Amino acid sequence: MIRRLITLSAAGVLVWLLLRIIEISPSAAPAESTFMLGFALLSAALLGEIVEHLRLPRITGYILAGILFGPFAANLLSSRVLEPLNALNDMAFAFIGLAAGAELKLGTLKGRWRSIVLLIVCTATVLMVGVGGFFFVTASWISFLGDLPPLQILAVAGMVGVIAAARSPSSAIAIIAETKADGPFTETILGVSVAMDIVVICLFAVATAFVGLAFAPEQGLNLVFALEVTGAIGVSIALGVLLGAVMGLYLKRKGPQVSLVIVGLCFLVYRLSEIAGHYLEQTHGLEIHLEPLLICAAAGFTIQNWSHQGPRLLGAMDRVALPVYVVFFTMAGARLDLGALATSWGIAVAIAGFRIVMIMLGTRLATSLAGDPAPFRRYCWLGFVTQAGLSLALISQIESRFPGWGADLATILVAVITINQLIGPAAFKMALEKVGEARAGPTPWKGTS
Amino acid sequence: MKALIAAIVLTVLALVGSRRAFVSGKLPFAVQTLFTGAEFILIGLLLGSDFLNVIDDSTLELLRPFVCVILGWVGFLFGLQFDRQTVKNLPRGFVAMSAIEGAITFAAVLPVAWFLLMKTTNATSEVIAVAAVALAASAACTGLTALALVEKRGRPGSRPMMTLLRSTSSLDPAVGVIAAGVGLSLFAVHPFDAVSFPMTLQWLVISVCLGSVTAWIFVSLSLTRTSQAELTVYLLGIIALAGGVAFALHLSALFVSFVCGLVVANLTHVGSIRGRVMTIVAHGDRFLYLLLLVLAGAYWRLPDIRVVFAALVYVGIRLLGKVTGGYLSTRRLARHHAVPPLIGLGLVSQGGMGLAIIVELRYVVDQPLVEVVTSVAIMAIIINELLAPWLAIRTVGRTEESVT
Repeated sequence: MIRRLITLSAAGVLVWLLLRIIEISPSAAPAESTFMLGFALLSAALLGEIVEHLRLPRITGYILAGILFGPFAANLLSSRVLEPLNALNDMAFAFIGLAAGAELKLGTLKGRWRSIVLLIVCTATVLMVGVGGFFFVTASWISFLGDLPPLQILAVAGMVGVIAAARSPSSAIAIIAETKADGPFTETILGVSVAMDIVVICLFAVATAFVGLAFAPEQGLNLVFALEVTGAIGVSIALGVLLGAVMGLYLKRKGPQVSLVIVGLCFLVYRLSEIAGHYLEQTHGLEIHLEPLLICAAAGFTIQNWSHQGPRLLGAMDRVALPVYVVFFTMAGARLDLGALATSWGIAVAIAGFRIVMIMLGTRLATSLAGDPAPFRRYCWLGFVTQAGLSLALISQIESRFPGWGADLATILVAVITINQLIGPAAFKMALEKVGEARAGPTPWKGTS
Repeated sequence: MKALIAAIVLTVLALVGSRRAFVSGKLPFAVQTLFTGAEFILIGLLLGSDFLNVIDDSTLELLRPFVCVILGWVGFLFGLQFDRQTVKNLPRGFVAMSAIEGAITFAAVLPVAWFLLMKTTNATSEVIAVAAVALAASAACTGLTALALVEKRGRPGSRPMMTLLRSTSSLDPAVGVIAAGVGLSLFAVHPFDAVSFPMTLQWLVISVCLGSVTAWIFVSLSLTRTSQAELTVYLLGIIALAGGVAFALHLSALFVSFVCGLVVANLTHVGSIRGRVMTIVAHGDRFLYLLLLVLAGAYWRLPDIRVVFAALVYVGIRLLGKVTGGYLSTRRLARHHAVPPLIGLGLVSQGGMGLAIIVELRYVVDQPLVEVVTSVAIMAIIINELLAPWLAIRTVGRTEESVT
């Protein structure tokens, strides 16, 4: 391992020297992005291996690599470098959605509906009320909320509570893939994480409507946005089912290069969703944003459960999964706003801590009501700590919809998510190991062959 | 929107192509010769800005990082084939013969291309030099598609002759890749300043060092019992690193990755990492090659009549170079074996590496002349691909006659 670290350092020196010696011209910017991506891939993969020996999940290593080389540390993966690689990130996001859907097997979920529904209802309610309430109570210490009337603070707190309920299916699926976990606990956590995304999107739409009412009562309650969001979810799921049916046929006919088709398709789904959203907004004034994660998750679910091609899909995805995860989580690490964490770490730590307590309470309540076995009750909360993509997307909505205080709130929430993203994957991995569903134990320390 | 449609079309074409291309079934030979891959260049042309404008200039710009990886991938795979054991297993003298044939073709095309570009364009002498070197480097390369067609036809001629033609076609692109490496070293980092021999040598050495260092990094990182997925990550990382650094320095990504692949192939034991790496790299090979063909077509600007004329001249000079190179390089062998004097006619197919060199030139040297040169070369490649199967079958036929 030391030899490999020295090797990686040599690569780092090479890149550093290169950046010192030459001035990257604008025409060479894509080349700069390419070699930085190459370096980040190597570093992240190696860091992933190192943290694995510390019993942490590999994605923590990838995220750490992103942070280490991101704008707040070495600044090798600056926003300028990351921009030409956005397409890769989008593709990876959709790919993870597809994998999440494909991992959900109706056969296994059949006996777990009660647990899943209770977990969603209980944790969402407890988190919204608990974290929202905590935010409301502590609002007087938050400078930009100090002057607002209580009703407005309550509305904002409700929105914070909704965001606190969001999970990260992408992190969950990466950990499941890494640990090769399988079983009722794994599927329940994954099922809840995916379904919770839908619930949170709907709740966020309603919360936004109420915040709008609280801040501009003369305009009345505008539920159009909520309807648009619900419509978008319905359309996304329908499109996903359709896509799944088509892909199922392709897999059945043993089409060529399945792994590459999947990667290309994920990229297309993301881009098409974006384009459709822009089109509907510009031509019909509708804010219907199709959710690529949902489309792909529905497609994966359809293939897994309504065609016989689930194993083939998972096998093909498995061949390209690791590079996709490394790219996605390294870029996610580079995008983590450590500046936000530095400016509001106090309140962020408090909210993150309180959120964890609420998750424990909510999961305890749900698993007790469902009569789940003891290890399940004990460790279930560890699977719901991580937050990532969806939460960040919702925060950007807050920023754009509520200029002024929206940006300040976003800073705090991004800091909370940064903490959750760092500790969440390790927590989930620990839970999988504790309940005995992690199939791949820690890899033995590798010597040179 | 265009980028999206372009991506869809490119993906579908590459996928359909990767299954259908070069599989001509029971079609007549004349029809088969029309489907040697050049048809994808024409599709690219159709999608390009001269016709449907689906793959426009901004789309091509967006695809830069991916093209960088594709070129790195092509170079790495090519270098990987040159491991000691494989080269040792080749019949004696074949490597030298391929090198001589490639070098003679290069030497035949270079001065003519240089002279014609000097006389017909008003670009700076530095740009002319690099364009001429790229044209000659591309000309030196030979593809395998025509020979594959001949073999598929069922009467592939004498076995030693086919081995000679096959190994020459597999090996002589090395001359082109090395020449491209030298050519782009002329203008590394600060393109189009005064060219000097020491500077060129310096950048050439840097290219070699870069390839070797990245290879060492790759081997060091993957020397443990890494899984195939981990190896893929390291491979992608190293190809992106080598290709990206080369492009950032205005060096040849093909050459740097070729050196990287070459060093990896010879630093590791055959059957260990090399075999596993080869499996990964070869898996995406056809898909990426077809993408390259379509992209090359999109770069092709519909020529005026002078470009058509230039392409014909280029084809003619290259043919002359191949015939001369083939004749001179096989003289020693001809003392003991039946080698037709016009063996060079069996080496007309220009192949993927020739095309990759031209695409790379288009990416690295952003000058109006290069647009013209790209069009000339791509047109010539199509002509060569159409001619190659006929000439190859004629050459093989002659061998049969000599043998009987």
